[in-house]
Amino acid sequence: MSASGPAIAVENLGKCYHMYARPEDRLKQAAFRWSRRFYSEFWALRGVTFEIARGESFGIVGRNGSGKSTLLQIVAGTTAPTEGVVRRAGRVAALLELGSGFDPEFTGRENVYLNGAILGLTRRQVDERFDAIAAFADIGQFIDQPVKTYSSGMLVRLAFAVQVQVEPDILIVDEALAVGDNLFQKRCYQRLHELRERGVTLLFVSHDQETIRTLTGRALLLHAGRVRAIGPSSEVLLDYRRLLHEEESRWMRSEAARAQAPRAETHADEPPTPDDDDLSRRSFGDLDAEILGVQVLDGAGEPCAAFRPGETLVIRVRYRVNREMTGISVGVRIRDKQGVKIYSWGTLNQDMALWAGRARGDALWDRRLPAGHTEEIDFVCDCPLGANFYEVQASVSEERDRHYNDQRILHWIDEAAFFSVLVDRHEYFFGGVADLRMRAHVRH
Amino acid sequence: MTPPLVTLSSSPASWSALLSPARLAGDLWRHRELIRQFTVRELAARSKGTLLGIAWEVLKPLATILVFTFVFSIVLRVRWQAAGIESETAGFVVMMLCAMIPFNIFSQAALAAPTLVLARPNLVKKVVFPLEVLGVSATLASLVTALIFAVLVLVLLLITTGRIPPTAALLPLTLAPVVMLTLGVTWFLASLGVFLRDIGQLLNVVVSNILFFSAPIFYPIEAVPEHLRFIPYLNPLTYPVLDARRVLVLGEPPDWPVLAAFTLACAAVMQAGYAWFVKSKRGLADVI
Repeated sequence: MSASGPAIAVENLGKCYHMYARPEDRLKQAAFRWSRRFYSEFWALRGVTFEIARGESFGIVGRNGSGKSTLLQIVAGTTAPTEGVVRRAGRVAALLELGSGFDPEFTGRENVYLNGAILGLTRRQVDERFDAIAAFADIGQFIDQPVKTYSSGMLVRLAFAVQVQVEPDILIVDEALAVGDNLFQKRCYQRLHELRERGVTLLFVSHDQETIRTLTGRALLLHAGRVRAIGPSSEVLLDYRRLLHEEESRWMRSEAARAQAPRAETHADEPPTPDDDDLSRRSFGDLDAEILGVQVLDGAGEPCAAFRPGETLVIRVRYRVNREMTGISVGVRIRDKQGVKIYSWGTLNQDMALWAGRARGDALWDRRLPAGHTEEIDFVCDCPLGANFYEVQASVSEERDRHYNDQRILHWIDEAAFFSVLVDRHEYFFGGVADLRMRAHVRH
Repeated sequence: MTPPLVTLSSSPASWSALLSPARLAGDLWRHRELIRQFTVRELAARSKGTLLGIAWEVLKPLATILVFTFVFSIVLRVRWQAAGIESETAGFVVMMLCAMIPFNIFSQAALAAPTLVLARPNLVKKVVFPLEVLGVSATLASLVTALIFAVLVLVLLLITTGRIPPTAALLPLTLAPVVMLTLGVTWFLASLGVFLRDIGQLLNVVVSNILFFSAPIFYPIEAVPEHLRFIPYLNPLTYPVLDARRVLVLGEPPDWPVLAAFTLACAAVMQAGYAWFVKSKRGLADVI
């Protein structure tokens, strides 16, 4: 690997834990290496390959138990891999777990020197940096108190202060920053940004999608110890959310199935579920009514994937009821790339406004729909959203009362459609997530 | 400056690489700051929170010496009887205490060894830490304690005999191999203690009883019947015990050829202990 090579290269990495019932079994295994097996195998990681360039910020996401921490520990060097190789170039500092490098009986000051030594600094080098460390940690007189008296926030402040002050080439951060108050977190992130600009390679693990998105350029999605996706962070995060949805809706569907099971007989003549595999992974529901398709259209009724603020945006939901029904509500939900719910609205919302006398028309809720009835509902707005990538979720539900108090989801689809909103900086521009259509009035 | 390149893989360093003294020396030198800090911390931790603090490090051996002196030379009035040497009662205590200097270096570190790594899971799993430092600092802390004891013994020697023989200057030479032996054994036990937790119990018996009484500490080696005299010689601590007595009390030089052979053997033990420790430490994180 030359000086211009990657900061971290991981090749076909695997970590197999031998689960021994008792510690001495491990010794027996060493003695009877080939003749018997005293353990059961568990692969926490398998076939993981990726490279991180110098100065790059790289994120690792995945659910609990997906192997994130194991991967980080191997890269940091606290755990040995079972197979594969990790190559690192540069001084590595790692924030693996809260206060893990500290001796609780000793003072913060003593622990700073200890940590400095662990990271390879001489006493004088720590002397030079001590004031900066103490200032960043900002824990006042506590620096001369035993670490065991610290709050978790103080611990992470001191730990972070030490790690970033040693000027590492590679900084590895596990979710340690989740503790600490907002102000400190802000300073940490600011510091991480600074380090990144200075060319420090950053390897970052977090549950927090927003953090990964803002701090890292590329990311890796681990699932059950294997690489599920790798690429630009925003795309990997989308995959991650898809994964979370899959698991969530699988669970919800199994719940729904359980709830429905006793009534199965009465629906013996129900048509077979038409779901294709892909759709079924993104949807759940009782299926007394079904969403057949969701489209995003422009004002002219043409399919459209990109909008500018103010343009007409139409979400067309096509659905069918499978038995005679009343009390139907069809709804949509819009989420941005970060998974934040921007808006949710349904036909019952409109009906409620109607009943309140705020609008005119017939309530959809009151209609009696015959079995097999198919129709389309257009949800129309003048796009008020900021620049982002949006996901549309659609649902059809049976509302047993008029105020969403007794709802039965008949069919729900995640990622039913997508669209983006683009903002032209030169024509019409605003900051933030929503266009409030403000006007400026000059008052004399 | 080119950044250090590190390769982490499943194949650990080979035995032949680990058995190189240069690698061992380099490792110790690189981690000298950590070794210093951990040694100080090891010593400080013992008296941390106590009223008298570091004074205990002097008070404890002083108490031992006073008790031994009282029991053996005032109450029991034991005499040291060996070929050509017939001492006053005070002589017995001095003979015995000299012999305890090398023994103490070994016993304190060795007894602490099995829990050395076991008691610090954070350093094993949570930080990138050169665990071999723990063995070195435990040995050095033990050495410091033993040296404080040695100084007190020299004072007692001066009081009771009125002189310290010039050969006392050779004491460090006789203790050096003990330090190497201790370090090697400590490394070995520190890793073994993680896998086999019974080691700690077994060790108490072996060190405090078998090794202590089979070395000629409480008796001159000549007191052992001729046909059983091989037994003390099986105990590696016998050699430094005899030499310490020679240079401190008898005013004789050490048994040079034996000292040379013993030093070589101890260096080999240290190197083997190092290799074993480094080789096995990769598995520690999975067990602790």
